[in-house]
Amino acid sequence: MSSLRATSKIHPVTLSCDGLWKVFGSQVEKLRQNADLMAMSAHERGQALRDDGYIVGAEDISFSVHAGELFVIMGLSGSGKSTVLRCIAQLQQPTFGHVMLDGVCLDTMPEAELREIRRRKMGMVFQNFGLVPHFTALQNIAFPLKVRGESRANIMAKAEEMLKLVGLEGRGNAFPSELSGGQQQRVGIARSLAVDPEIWLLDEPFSALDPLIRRQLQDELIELQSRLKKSIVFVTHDFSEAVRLADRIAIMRDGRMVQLGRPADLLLRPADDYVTSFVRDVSRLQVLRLEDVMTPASKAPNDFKNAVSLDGKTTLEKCLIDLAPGQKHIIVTGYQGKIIGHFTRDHLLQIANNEGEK
Amino acid sequence: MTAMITASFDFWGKWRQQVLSAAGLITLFVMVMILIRPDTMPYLTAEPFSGSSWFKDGINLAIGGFVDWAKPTLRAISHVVEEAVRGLQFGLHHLPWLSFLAIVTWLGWRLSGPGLALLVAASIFYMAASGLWIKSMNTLAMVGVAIPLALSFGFAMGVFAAKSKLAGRVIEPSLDLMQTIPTFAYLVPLIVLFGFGPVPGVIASMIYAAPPITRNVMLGLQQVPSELKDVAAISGSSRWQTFAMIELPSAKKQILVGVNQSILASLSMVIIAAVIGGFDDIGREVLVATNKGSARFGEALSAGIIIVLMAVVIDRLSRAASDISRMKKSLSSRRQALIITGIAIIIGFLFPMQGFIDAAASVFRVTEAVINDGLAQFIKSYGIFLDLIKNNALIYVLLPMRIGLEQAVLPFTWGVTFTNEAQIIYLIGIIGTSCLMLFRGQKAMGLFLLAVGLIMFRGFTALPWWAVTGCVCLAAWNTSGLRLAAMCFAMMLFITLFGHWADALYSLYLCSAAVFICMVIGCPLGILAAKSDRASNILRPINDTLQSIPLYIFLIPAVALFQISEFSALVAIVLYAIVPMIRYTEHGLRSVPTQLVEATTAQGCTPLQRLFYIELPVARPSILLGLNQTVLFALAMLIIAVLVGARGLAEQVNIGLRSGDTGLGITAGLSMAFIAIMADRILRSWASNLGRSQ
Repeated sequence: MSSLRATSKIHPVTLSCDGLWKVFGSQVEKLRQNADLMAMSAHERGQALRDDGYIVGAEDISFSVHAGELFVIMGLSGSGKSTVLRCIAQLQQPTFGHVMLDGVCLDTMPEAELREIRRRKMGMVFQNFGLVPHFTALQNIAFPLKVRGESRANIMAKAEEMLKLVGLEGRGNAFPSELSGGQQQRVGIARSLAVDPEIWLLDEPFSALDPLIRRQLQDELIELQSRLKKSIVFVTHDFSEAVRLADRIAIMRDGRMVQLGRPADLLLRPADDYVTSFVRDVSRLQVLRLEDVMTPASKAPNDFKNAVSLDGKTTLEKCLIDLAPGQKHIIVTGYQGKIIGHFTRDHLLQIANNEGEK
Repeated sequence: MTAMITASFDFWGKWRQQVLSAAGLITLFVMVMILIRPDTMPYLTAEPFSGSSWFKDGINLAIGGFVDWAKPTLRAISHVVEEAVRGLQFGLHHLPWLSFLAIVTWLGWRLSGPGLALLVAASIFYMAASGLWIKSMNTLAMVGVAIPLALSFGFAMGVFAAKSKLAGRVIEPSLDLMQTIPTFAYLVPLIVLFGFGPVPGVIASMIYAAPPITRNVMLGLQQVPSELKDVAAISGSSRWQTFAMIELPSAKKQILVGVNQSILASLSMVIIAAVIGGFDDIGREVLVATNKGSARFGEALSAGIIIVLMAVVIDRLSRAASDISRMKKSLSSRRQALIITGIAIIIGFLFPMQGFIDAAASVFRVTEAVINDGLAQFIKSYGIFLDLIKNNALIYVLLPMRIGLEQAVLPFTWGVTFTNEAQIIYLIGIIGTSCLMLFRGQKAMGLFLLAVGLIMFRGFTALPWWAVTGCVCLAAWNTSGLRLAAMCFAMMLFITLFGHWADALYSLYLCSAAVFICMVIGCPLGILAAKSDRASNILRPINDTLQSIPLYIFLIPAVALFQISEFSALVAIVLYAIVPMIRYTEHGLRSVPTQLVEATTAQGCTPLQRLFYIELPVARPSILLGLNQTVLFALAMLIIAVLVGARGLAEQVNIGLRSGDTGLGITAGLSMAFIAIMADRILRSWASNLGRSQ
């Protein structure tokens, strides 16, 4: 976790959830006035609510998303991941707890102010695309700008730009029904980015697509993110997708957050059997990076001869080539080529062996 | 815990079953006693609270006060509406018929194509040539004002109901009432409030035609995908922006369905409102000619055809206009429309073609006379057969249903006497057979046989109010639950309290007779249509026509053949109400899963066995829904049928209308609406129970 704290010094927090709860049932609004309930610990409160027949969709969820970070919430259906996202977007009112965007609390905000925030700072992509069927692709993208009341020329220019960004030039006049699933979601992505949001919310954006298209759009998302550096909350039920995309992952089960960490943290130190069951199907060599598994050191040991230097962000899969016969050692470098650790072939083989045994 | 809950449910369910059967048995027992020997307990059979008029008086008093208070405002509204109608009327009267023909034909061409254009041109030519041009235009003037009013009123209500829960809770049930209260019932207060002339008709049509559009607006707005609403919310759109840009366009298709239905309902209503008179329109023409009987059949027919043509043309035009892409195209040529209109008007004035029209009109008059003569000739030569049908129906079906076999079987009608011995044998036979059926487990059939047998013995008019109330409430409880039972009880009480029991029974009798005939004829026709594509292809256009023409028209052939009588009313009701029976039977049979049909065929069933053991039982929920529609249609037609000889509640409503007795009109009208609502609710929950258990 120390590396995280380090990042937070560099990048400010964009969004944070603080003890977020979403409870479903009758007269949920009155729960907040229940002093006994509020005095309980999170665990007791959850138990008490369930005993009273309430359904707890999200239980005491806290995390922060830093500027430029791609934060993934992963969980199976019914785990409460979409509930958390909808609470962040204020499409659902959290029962307890707060959502802060740029240090401003969203859940206590008056309707008009919230609308203003949504018009300027939020973008959201939906699982089933959420395209308006009677609008063309271009009109769909222009919708958030139109709602904001911008001039027509501005709207059209911006919408065209967005269309180009997602690679759909020339299809602007097509209606959603005339586009393929992948194209439709590109329009959805373009629309959500049209207002240049500060926080970008993606609710299982690729789940409704074919595996090939999904893969392609994931690559495009990674590419887009490397340019745009948005703060992202990405919800998925697909662990391999989460691992591929995430800077950090929160795993949810039955409304609770089971583990939060970088993909490597989850792979190397799964919190419980539940997380392990997901980790099992993921190739470590593809996910783990040198910096995750190296022996930290500030300079190379003496017996390192002819060692190659590789960046700490390199995945183990990619170092396989560099550790060809005759090459036993790797020096791991970090920021500005500074040595941050080292790594050996034996070590790699050991990890690869473990992978084979699973 | 769960076990306890289940157990208590079990207990409740069993208890309910027991109470139901116990109450059913007691009711049945007492009813049997009474039906067998009514004179032993006169206090049980007498109509309660007869002659009670405080509600009617109260309503009359309340309306009187309200009228005095609201008259200036209402009369001002009335004045505005009337001016609008008169203005439109003035315009239509002075527009040469040729110009009108050209403009509307062009519209039909633009909206759809040559087919519709041809239909429009032929229809308008018919109106001009028939010599009924002025009357047709008067009707159109009323319709022209009524349609926009009904559409905007209905649309506003729909949006309101969809957006506000409270408004929805008020509006939704009132829609039922707006459609089931017979129009004549609210025509009376409307006349009192708005005065004579075209205005009450326009307002009545607004009330009657609003529900379809309201329902479709509500449905359309509810069906907007929630994801789209989320998109709107997350984009930060205001409520108005969401409504105008997302919800309304999404609901458009559904709303347009409602627009079409409302337009047709509005036309239908404007024509019914001709009963008030005072606005020399085409509906009035039909009514007057129809009431003269077979002697003016030709005139009634040629005017009736105009109504049918109007309905068809307006229906087709509005449906074509709701096709969005075509609409865009024709809107883009607004200048072309102006030019065409201008040319059409000039041509119309240059060539009034009055001589041609006069000649055509005289041809029409001759044709009508020929038709009249032909009909007279027909009646002269085949009158015996017509009378035979009529008399047989009267003696062997209608009379026994009304006053019972006990009184209907007389030597000079049936040719035999219903002696005491015969009566006893009849009763023992009926009760014995039904008991046998009950013990063999055929509960529904046994009860049905018992009820029919007893009713036929003493007649509908002898049914005691409390027994019917009990049976209705039990049926409601059994099919739906306590809430519906309580509602039915309140409604039955209302009918009895305001002294409408006897009339309600009469309406029930005529309606039952019609529904019975519809079942006997409609079910086999539906089966035929389901089994043969050829029969289906022949029946479909007939059904379409029967359903799209205003109710009024059904009176014309009925009266022409059978004069003004109860039987004519019955014929008119059957003609109109048989359509759903045929349609739903066919639909139900055709949607029996093919797998099931193939499986039974493979087991070696004959087609007839398959029909009775598999297909009809599977199709039962659908057939029940058809029956439900037939009952509602029959009740709706009953109120029109009063114009040609029906009696009962409908007659009371009509008397209320004619004598300006608001209380009488409203209570009798509400009673009819209540009967319709009860029948609808009970039959529908029965059908859905059946559907669920399958």
